[in-house]
Amino acid sequence: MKAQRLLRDVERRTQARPPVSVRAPEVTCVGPDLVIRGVVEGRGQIEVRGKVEGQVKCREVSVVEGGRIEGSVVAELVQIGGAVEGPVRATTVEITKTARVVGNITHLNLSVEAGAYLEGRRPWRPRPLGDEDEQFTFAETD
Amino acid sequence: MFSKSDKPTSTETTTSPAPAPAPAAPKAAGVPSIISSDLKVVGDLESEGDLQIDGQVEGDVRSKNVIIGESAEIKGQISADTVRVCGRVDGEVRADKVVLMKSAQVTGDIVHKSLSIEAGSSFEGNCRRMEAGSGKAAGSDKVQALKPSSAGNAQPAAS
Repeated sequence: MKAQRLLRDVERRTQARPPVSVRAPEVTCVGPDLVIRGVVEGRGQIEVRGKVEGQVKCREVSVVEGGRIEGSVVAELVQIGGAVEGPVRATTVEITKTARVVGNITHLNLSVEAGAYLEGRRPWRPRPLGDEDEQFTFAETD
Repeated sequence: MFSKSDKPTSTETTTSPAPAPAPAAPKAAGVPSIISSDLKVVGDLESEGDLQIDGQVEGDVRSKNVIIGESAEIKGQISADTVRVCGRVDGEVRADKVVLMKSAQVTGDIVHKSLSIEAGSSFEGNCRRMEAGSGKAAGSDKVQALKPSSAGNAQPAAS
């Protein structure tokens, strides 16, 4: 039938498409069904909807509601709407009301929405390094 | 009392033949996981859904559908239902359906039910066909005596 042919046509066209040419600009997405056990390191952006057990070091880290990081987070910008268990270290930390953070948050700018659950100290630190680009590579030593 | 009737319209008369219609669907489908090219993961990745890797991974990858992008470098074992390789893999690939695209560079064994290798890809290792019964669960059985005939059953890539 016509509809079937159309469907087949669409199927063929989607299969013929090159598989990896579509690449988002350096955004990593940890989907809700993904679990990463280990160290995650990058210079771009990472969005956690699933679970990371280990250290995350990136320029921008956002933990979406439902997402979870069990380990330290080192970044330039951290947005937390999910759960983080471990120390957070970033220039800017934004915490929304659905967040649950257990661990110290070392920050320069911190914003917390009412309703967020925070456990731990939140020490303020001036910029650890002068170079904007180098900031998210600062050492984990506290 | 009336046990979570979130769809009150149709299933009122039925008692309990289908207790949980919703949770059977994959949770939050449609959000595929992408490891971008600037990212390096030292550790294992485990997923129930789709996974695209463009970055570096040192560790094992377990998922349903895996795409290894052109810029990807994997050092470790990959086991999945479907694996499409466009990048570098150093380790065993174990999947029902394995597709090596022309940019693929694979060093390691491939255990498959269906394998296709595009012209131009480089592959160094043994490939062996999974028996229907063995499946992915048999993770430890090694290639011991590879019959030369089993290495030649690659199908043409243009399927």
